[in-house]
Amino acid sequence: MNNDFDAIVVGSGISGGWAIKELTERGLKVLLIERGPETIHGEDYIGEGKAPWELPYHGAIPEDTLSKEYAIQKQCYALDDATKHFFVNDRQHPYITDKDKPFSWIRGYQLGGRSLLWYRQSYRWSEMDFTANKLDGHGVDWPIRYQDIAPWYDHVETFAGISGSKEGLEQLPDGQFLPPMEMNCVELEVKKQIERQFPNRSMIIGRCAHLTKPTKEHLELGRGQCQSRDECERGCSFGAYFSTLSATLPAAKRTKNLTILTDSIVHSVVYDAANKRATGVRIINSKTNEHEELNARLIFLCASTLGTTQIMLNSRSNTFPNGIANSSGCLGLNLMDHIFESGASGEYPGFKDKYFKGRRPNGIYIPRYHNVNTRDERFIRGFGFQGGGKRPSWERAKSIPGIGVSLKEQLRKPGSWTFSLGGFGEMLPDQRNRVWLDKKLKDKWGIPILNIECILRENERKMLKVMSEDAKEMLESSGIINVQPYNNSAPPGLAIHEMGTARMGRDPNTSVLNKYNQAHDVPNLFVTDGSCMASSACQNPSLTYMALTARASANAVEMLQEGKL
Amino acid sequence: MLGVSIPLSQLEILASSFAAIKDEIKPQFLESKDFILLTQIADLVIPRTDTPGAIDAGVHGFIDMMLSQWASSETQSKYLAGFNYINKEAKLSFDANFIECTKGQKISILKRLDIRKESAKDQRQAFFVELKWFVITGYYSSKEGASIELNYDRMPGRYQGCLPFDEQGKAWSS
Ligand SMILES: Cc1cc2nc3c(=O)[nH]c(=O)nc-3n(C[C@H](O)[C@H](O)[C@H](O)COP(=O)(O)OP(=O)(O)OC[C@H]3O[C@@H](n4cnc5c(N)ncnc54)[C@H](O)[C@@H]3O)c2cc1C
Ligand code: SF4
Repeated sequence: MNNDFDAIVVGSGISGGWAIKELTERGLKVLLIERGPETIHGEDYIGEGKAPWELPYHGAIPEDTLSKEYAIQKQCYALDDATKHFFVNDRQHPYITDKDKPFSWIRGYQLGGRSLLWYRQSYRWSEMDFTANKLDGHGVDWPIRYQDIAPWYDHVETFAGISGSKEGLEQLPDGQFLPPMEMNCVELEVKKQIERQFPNRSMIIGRCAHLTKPTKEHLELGRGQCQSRDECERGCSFGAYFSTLSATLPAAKRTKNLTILTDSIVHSVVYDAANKRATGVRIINSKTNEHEELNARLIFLCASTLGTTQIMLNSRSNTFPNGIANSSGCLGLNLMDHIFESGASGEYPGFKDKYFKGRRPNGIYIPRYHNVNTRDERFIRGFGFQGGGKRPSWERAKSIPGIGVSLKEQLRKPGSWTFSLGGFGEMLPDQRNRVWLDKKLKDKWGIPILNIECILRENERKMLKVMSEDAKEMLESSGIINVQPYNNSAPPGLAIHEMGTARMGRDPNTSVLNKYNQAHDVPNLFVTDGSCMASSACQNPSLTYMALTARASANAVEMLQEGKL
Repeated sequence: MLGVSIPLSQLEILASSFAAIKDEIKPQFLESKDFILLTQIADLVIPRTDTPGAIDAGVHGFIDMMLSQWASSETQSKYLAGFNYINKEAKLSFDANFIECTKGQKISILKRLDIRKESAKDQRQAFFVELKWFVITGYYSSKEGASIELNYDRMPGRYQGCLPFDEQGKAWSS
């Protein structure tokens, strides 16, 4: 392989996609290394546009395959027979947890990573989120503030295409939005009631990475308008939702500065102690097991939070016996996810003569309201709700008795409107929540496998309780009946917002990365995926990974050009 | 009912099973006596009316295929045992195998077994509730159930959240 690259980017998911785009557009020759196979936009979306009866087993995965190959991944709602090739096979990709401390590591190893699978909710963080650690003392202070990232949110939103409504909320800043999607009758009604009865709360339409009205820039990349099919995780050949394959990859390719290497697992980063630089990466061909070393002037790790952390922990040298850039000892610590699976749902008795058309790939959102203007005594930080209203169809037959003509006639009409709210809450950084390499066990390529230990603690448990109480209260005061609150604590990891294990910070003694996602210890090593996060806020994080990646890339190129790297 | 009655003395399948007889689905997994039982139950759960029923949609063949190719061996055994339960229930009440009962008897057996899953008291009820759900999912994800009985929209375009129900007239299948 030609070794003449300015930058190596490891991982092609949401973060890596942005790194290759920004670096190649600034003229760098970039090598993208991805452990999974190549995926072809369109061609590999095998279930796209197919009706259930056109799919093998009507979309269900054979039971033995599910239990043997996808024992962990099957917990994810998006796994079915038409998406399973975008999820890892758990048998081939093991990790270790304590039996009573489960962690669900949901992953996709292919060109595009989990950008193909994500639910596309996209929210900015606010000033409150970047100052939280400093104010209450959990974790370390973020080395950036909202104003540092705001222009980069503008930048990534414009390119990715984020649909949403402007609301003027301090805790959820507005962005560069494409037109919002529509709320249905019940959602409009519940919104009205909640906003009337709870003055500091609002309900808005979800902000999501869908082209509700493509711009010239989107169209030039071959992307088109969203058709409300809501089967996005199978892939969308219209490129109507943001993914690496629909957006950042074609943008990087057209610069002619990109080389792609798939089926290549990065084993570790190579460190040159004399020059105090990372010189490249060691890779293993996942099919042939061949090892190779590839070099570049800049290394960007974007292999997802735990993927990147595993690579770094495995990059051991005399200088860094416990993992590259780990002089602080923080690498692998402070793992966070969002807490969820707590909320409420019920029925709305009215609007029986109203129905919807289309499958909206999006829901509603209630931005955080606790600890925004007033201080809650029960817990610190906060949570938001995702949810929505719909009229269930035949699936409600699961809980209604009856057979024959009457059942059939009943199911020909939709059921009553239902409405549900599910919380997503902030998890505090805590160094006891951590990952480390196993001393003995290795995967089939000889890479030490990860141990993961992550549990919910007092603040999170209190928050979960309030989540379902609040949801119940809001629904009941909005005219929803038969409200069923729930609080089934899901295993951490299952919110699929894992982050924090190579955090940014101001102090090299307590953090791994500086304010430009640059390793304190190794100036030409950058980490821009979720591992960089110093706190978790309660908003879905990927938009923030995009903005941080774009910002870090621009900055790295500037430093390179100024001869500082 | 369509006013057609097919004299199938031995099977006594309802009129709506016409399609099945026509297509002569050969079961891959079930023995013929269990397959007939499955066929009759599918027909009783979702009969043909002015729209296709479960048999028209091939749900009996679908379930047999799923048991053969999709199900684990535990699930396969559970279904085989389950069909026996139903026969036992029929024997207890009417001193005959299920398929030999009259239509009225069959319906009364199924109604007795048709209890909400959470309140199912014994294995027979639990099994029937599961089987019924299999028939329902098989039917409403079939072409007939999803796009003739209900509406299916492959490419909806813009989402519209609040339209008069009468414009659609029936439920979306997905
Ligand atoms: C079903 C689902 C729904 C989600 N919904 C949302 C949502 O609504 N909003 C939101 O913000 N987030 C959501 N997420 C999370 C979102 O997908 C992730 O935050 C995002 O994809 C992270 O981007 P990433 O680039 O860091 O990692 P990934 O997208 O996971 O990409 C990492 C890439 O690195 C590769 N890689 C890993 N290890 C190596 C190695 N050693 N060598 C080479 N390559 C390697 C992987 O194969 C992969 O392609 C969802 C995720 C899932 C699965
Ligand atoms: S809902 Fe929109 S983005 Fe999703 S698959 Fe359909 S057209 Fe594509």
